[in-house]
Amino acid sequence: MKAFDPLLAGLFRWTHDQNAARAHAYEDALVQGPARAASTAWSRAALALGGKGALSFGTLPSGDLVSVRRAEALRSALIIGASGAGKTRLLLHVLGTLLRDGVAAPSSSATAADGHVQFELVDPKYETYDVLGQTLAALWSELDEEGQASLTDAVRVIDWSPEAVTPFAPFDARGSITTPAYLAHLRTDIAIQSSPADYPEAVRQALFMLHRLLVTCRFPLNYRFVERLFFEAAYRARILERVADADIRAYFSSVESLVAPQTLRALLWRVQKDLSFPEIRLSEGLPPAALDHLAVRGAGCPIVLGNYSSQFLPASKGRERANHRVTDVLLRAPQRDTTRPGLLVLEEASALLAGRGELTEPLLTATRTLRSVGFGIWYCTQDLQNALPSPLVRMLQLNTRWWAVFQTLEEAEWVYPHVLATSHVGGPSDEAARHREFLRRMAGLPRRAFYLAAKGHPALPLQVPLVADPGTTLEPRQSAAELRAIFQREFARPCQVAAAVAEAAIQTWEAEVVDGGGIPPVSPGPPTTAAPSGPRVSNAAELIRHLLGATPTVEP
Amino acid sequence: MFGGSIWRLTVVWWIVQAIRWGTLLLLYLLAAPIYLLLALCLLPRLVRGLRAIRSGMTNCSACALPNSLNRLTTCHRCGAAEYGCRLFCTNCGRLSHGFPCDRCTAVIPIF
Repeated sequence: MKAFDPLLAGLFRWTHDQNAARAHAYEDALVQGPARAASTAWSRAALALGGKGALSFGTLPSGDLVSVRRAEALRSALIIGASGAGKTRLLLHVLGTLLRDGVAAPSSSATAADGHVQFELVDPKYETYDVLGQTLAALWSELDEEGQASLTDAVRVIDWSPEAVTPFAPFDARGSITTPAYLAHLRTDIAIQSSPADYPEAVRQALFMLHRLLVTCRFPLNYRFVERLFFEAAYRARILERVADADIRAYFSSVESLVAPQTLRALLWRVQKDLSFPEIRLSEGLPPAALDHLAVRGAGCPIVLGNYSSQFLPASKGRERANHRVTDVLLRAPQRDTTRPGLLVLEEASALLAGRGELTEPLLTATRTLRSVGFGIWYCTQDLQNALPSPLVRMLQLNTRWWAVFQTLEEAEWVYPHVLATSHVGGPSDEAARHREFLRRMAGLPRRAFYLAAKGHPALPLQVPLVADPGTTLEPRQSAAELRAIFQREFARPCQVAAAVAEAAIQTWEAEVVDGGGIPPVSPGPPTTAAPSGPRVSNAAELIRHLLGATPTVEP
Repeated sequence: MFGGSIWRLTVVWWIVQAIRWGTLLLLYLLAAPIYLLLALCLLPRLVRGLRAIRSGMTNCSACALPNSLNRLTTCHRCGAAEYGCRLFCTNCGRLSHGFPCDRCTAVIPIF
């Protein structure tokens, strides 16, 4: 080709002016064009994501609102990013929209597009729970009496404070599809994984068998009961008379020869430590039989807000309770009403999954399989790749439908293949440099900015809409303290039992079972989705009268 | 005294020149078919190259990205930056027969 070089050089010199003009035009288009192309592609992707009853997720750089159709939005998802990057704001925005839509929709309709969604928030850090509670209170204030009543009936609050607790019967297998042994296994594993204490194999086994006995007898966890059970043979024999399970009978009949006394003492100390927190003793110690007759709003509410923060409890206990709750939700999920989509929102999910206990596998399986019953799980977390083992991260990555990736470094790699090449306006021209530039940009992404990567669509650069503080839209405007008070009064209290009532119920049970040494006849208990069928008891005196056989005052 | 010798030398010189140029001509004639063949082989490449120059765009054979031949480029030899065809530098006269793709950096041969 060298032979033609002089000819070509002459040709280029001759056509240089024309080429220069074309080069100018090309460079101009390079600056203007991609912005237009990217904008068009994003708008097209946003259109493809939208649909009936779409949920808004944020705005594009052009200011256009991006909404994702509910069927897609309520599938399992990952919300990842550094602390303070805007994950909680996105959650509040979307869950707030769900709450408002649910209130606005007619109660006769029950599909996702109409606004009726069942969701449960598991919040180990309080912030999301608190703001959603205020949002609920603000919504409640806007409604008429009938609307207020239906809204309060739709919400269940799980919270603990020294004054009142949401009762929790971890060893009540009524209405559950699991066998007593499996329920006991799950409870034992979660308790051990969450606890900072060391559990040797013998203690583990003793705890598992104790849990089996509690589930079989429908007993609460009680220190005095455990002490007598392990160290008084006569009492143990009386308890075992009513236990049908031969395994349990065999184990406890020869527990003194099977288990060393120091192992039993170690187990007793752990039980004592767990129950030394009044909130735990009162909520877990409430006998399930007494719960049947307490006027507490329980299962069947489409909206559940759970506060598992370390406000009153050690972090490990909060985590343990959250894990128990998630287990219960997952166990019940396959039996749920599929006409209403279900959503489980796990705040700080990596903290829940980090132990890699029995919860991990059910969660992953649920993420993979529960979409068939319209159930999705949102994992909201920071630093996912470093907090969890890589196979687990990979499983989550594969089995989630969309990712909202906020300011992050490691997870930015996931989004990069889905980012439109044309969106790098004015950026470097070669692939490697562009990749580096993108990672740099993701590491310093501004607050509330994120990439929404829905599978099958290009990643969209979005901005979470500003969430107005609840109460600011009301006339007269209400402060956060006022809204919290409304939330406590109207939503939290009906789901809780006053500490005095719980204490009285526990004492009555102890008097009957621990001191009396008998097992009360096991009542069938109410179905989990229906309101309590027994007489409604709302204070300590009524409960005591009821447990002693007197007729309680029936609450309206 | 030297007239005859000069005449003879002139004749010899012309004969030598005739042989020299004749041989050269013969060699050119003998080589012509080969050059012709070579030219015929290169002609499609040349035509393709000229067509690319005329359209101003060419697709990368590796990643299919359309690359523009005319843009702001910096000469790899003299460092002069100018708007024009990226295959030729008007400052130093450097001529390239290809350039790297803007996306995948694979070489796109033009000539």
